[in-house]
Amino acid sequence: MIGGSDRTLNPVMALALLLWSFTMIALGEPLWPLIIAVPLAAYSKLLFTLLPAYAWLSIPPLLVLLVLYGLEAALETTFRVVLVAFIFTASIGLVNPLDYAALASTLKLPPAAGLTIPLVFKLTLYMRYTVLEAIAALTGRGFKGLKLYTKLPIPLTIHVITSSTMLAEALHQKKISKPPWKPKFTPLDVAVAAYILAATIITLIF
Amino acid sequence: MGEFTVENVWVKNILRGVTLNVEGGVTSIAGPNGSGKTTLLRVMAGLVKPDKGSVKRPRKIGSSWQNPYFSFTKPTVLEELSETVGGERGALEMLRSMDLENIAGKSPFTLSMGQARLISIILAVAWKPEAVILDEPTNGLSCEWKARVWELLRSMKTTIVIASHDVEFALAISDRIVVLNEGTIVGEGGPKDVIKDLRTLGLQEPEAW
Repeated sequence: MIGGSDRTLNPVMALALLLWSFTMIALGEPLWPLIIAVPLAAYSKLLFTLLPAYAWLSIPPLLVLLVLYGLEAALETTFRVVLVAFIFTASIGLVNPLDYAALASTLKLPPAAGLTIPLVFKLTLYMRYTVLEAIAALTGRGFKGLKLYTKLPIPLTIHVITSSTMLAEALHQKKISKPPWKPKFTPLDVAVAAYILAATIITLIF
Repeated sequence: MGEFTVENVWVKNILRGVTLNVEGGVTSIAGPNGSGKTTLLRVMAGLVKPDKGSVKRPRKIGSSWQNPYFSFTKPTVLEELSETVGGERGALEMLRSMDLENIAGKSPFTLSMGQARLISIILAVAWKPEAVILDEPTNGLSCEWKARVWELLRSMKTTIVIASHDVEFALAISDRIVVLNEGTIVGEGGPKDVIKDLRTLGLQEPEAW
């Protein structure tokens, strides 16, 4: 279990939460996803582990937009960026990685494809160890200052995705990636579903 | 031409009082695994701050490290190189001279380790830095590709520092070899002068020598 918690969310519910959150953000109702994402991220015990990552995500857009478009636009965009990060933490971090593999098997997909999702997330947690390596590589090409930091996410993202795919394939080869169970729905799933339903109804009525 | 002056540098238990001066030519740092080669390079590049001692380094240092894929940010090799040399024409000429035209349109992230390493080295030298630092430049390279790296580096008129456990390559390319063991310099000199030190450390000694 990512983050060391034994409290899990069904992967179907996690994906539904993601989809619903993005729909609400697109409809201009970001507070509803925020209300559920923050406590869930805290519940997964990942909130504090990921604080440096949130800072890394939020500070560059905040500074750039502050200079280009002013405080209000900077705060609004940064809020959305951090909200998306919270939603990913809450939805993906609360799912048992093997449940993704089980779900992929149920959908007749290779279990490794399902495993890649949580592995990308898990490797992102350790990305801070590779950030310095990437900075060294880009500095060695003559990039510095703002240009260096704007280019940094590209090799890091590619690294996380390729590493996750390789790891998922390795797990698949060892035949430990196809759990014999189907992901179950827990009381947490019911609570999240109830919240999504209630928030959607309130939004539609008012 | 860039000059490095490393004076009595200590880094935790990894480097113990290393003193070194490098100016011009190709200098290799050889030594067994864990001897502190990469740490010394990182100190010289300014990526690691020594606990004790001082380092003077050139202002513009090109470098290529163990994971070459971290150097890439563009969709194709040609775009990657064009950005560094300041134009597609120069980039194509450079690739042609290295017989690498066939990979110009490829994504750098899909290159083999050997190809990626070579492109990463080209990117490190293409912006004309005063000095170049290369960590294990021959890792994953076939003999043919090692020869290409050799040609590229020997054609450069700048200070080059290499860390390598590939003794054969280090002996072939270097004007000077620094032998490092357990964080201290145990031998220094031309390739023929350090053969005894390399043999003492159990590092491979090529038959030609």
